[in-house]
Amino acid sequence: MPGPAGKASRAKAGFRAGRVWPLPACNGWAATRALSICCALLPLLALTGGLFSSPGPYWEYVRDHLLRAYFTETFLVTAGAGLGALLLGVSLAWAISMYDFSGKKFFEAALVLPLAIPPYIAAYAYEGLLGYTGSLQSFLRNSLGLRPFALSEQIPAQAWAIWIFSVTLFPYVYILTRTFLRHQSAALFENALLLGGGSGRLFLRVGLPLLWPSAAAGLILVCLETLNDFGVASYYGLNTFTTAIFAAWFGMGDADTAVKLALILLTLVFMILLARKAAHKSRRYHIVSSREKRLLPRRAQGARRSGIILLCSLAWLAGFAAPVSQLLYWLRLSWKGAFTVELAQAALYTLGLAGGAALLIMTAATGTANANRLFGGRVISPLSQGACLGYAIPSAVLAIGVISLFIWVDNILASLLTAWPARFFSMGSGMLLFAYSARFFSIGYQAVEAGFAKTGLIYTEASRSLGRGVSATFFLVDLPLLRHALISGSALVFIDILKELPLSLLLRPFNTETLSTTVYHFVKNEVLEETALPSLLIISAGALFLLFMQAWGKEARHVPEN
Amino acid sequence: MFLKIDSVFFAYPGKAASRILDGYSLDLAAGERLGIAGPSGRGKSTLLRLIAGLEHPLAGSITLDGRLVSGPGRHVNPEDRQIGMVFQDYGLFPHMTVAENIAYGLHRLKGKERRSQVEAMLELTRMRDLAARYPYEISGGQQQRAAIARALAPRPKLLLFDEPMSNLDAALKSEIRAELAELMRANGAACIFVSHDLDDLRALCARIERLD
Repeated sequence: MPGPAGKASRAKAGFRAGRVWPLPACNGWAATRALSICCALLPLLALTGGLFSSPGPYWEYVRDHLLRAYFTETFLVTAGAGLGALLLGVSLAWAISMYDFSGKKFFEAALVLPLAIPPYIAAYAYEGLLGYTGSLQSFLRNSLGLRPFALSEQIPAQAWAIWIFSVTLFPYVYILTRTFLRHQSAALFENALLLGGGSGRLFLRVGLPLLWPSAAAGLILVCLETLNDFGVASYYGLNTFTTAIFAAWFGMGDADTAVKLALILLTLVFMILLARKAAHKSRRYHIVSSREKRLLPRRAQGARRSGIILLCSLAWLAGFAAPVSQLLYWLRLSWKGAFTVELAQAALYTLGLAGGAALLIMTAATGTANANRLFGGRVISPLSQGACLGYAIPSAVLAIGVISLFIWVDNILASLLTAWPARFFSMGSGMLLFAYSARFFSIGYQAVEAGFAKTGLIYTEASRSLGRGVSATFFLVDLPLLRHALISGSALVFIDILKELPLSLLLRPFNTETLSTTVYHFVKNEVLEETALPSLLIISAGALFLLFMQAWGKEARHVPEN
Repeated sequence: MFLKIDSVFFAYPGKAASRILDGYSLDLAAGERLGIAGPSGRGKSTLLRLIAGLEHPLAGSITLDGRLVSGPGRHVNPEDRQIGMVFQDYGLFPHMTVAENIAYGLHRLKGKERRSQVEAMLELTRMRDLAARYPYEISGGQQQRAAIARALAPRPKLLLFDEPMSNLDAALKSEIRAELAELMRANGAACIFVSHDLDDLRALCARIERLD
């Protein structure tokens, strides 16, 4: 039995005299989690209030004459974009993972770059490139004397939109499929080849069934991004649900009809998410032994090598190089008047908002993920998954939820406090910051959760058994091990906020512009050349972050995985 | 009794039907070295986690040095139990050197005292030359010695060892067994070793219990 001196030296060394928590965890971490989940879910709850509101004056007209077109066009564009991105993403991931060829390292990095280009900017750039008065046709006409052709008239707007979404969003499928294939066992593919049938049979009978869950996850992201889009649909004059919500709200001044349309769009999104869950449950394959040899690419030769290089070059050209070249050409034309005070203000405002939201989101996501892994909770843990729905919900829908919530808060405060300034919350930047946070919370949360999953609980438990509390353990042990996940999560949030258009357009304070709304207004005023500088600022920031993350990911392999 | 485990029940959340511990009881005297043997999946590691406060029992109680640490409506946090634990995978913090790992649990000591305690632990475990190395720069046996030094440094009331030899090859095992037995005898603290290898337990413990 240790004597009193032993007890004193133990207490002195590291252990406290003994603080007893009640069994249900109730502390700052749990409070941060509860607050974060509430903030992320409140806009959705505010929106569901629209289920019980009376229909707006234009609802009957929309329902009888326009709703069918909204459904058809939304379905057509989403399905087309999904199919295009799936074909491109899977074939590129397969080619990069299975074969070695000259230029592979370049393409491995370059094929993620289309993600840095917001689809609406690609749409404007393509019009500048291929339109009747665009760079390519002007060159053909003026330099080569060829007869002009009107691509924009011959090809329907829906097909243009499908093309734009396919070439800018395919990296979602490409990245997830490539990551999956990179971790596959070489034995699977070597066995399939030994059993005969060649590369085609290998892809169809072994590769495709194995990679399908990852490709499907990418496909869902492409569909959600397409449903969320406003810029492309608005530019091509498509009747999708997002443009319909804007038209009802701003065109007809009928917020109730906008809410009804938002709820229909939300139902479509939930159907897609349910389909994803069902697909995820039905098929998921894993390597059964950790000692499996990883897949090693074979050297591509002859026609196959030429085909792969051509495919990679075309995808990179279409998704990144062509729109960026057009923007650079416009920048050359508009260089003199491009640098304005307004643009500098918009850039600073955007960077401030994106930085602030990234900080807010990563703090909330870290608090929530840490509380979930340490304290669990039968009700609250699933609720944090619900809080991640923000990313799946189209911005136009979320914006309506956020504005309803802030107006409700303002009204309550105004009724309680006579001196309360009118629309204090619902007119400021705080509302936009809140909306960004609710929409992109899931990106931060998933990055942090993946980081925690990678290191496991062992370091936290070791730290606590050495006399450190939950918070000290977090700052001394968990946080340094989590830094890669935090940086990559912040970077993803930052890029997405730079690109975000519908939320910024709907919720920014009066007389304030972000880079994306600046681009939108130049397009509305039909001065496409002027879009070059703000667009290139958005793209270069996004591209730098993407390249940095790729390099960082390769460097960060020494953190042990549990 | 120094440690008293009284009719402890445990099942993982959502698996209440398949209990891992079903009314388990155990007594341990001060300074005693106890081994717990048994096949995989019978709850040996879970028992250590319950004693350390890393899991909550469904029912039953755990009393340490006369103080109820787990029981109905009461749970003393792991950081407040004064129990050291050497994990199966050691759990050495990968971003800290060996010396920093050992100093980690000595946060309430002043600088000079802390340094001298770290030196003493490095000396005891013959790790002085490896003090500035990171865990990934030392071998499995050295990692194990560093983990023991870290657990011993705050002078815990009780030391728990979860399969301490499972990551070592056969040649290193016999060498480390003798070293570990000597270290524990010198330290004098009560300890519980969990292993599926009876030879390990016979070399290290005065008493062996089976958990089947």
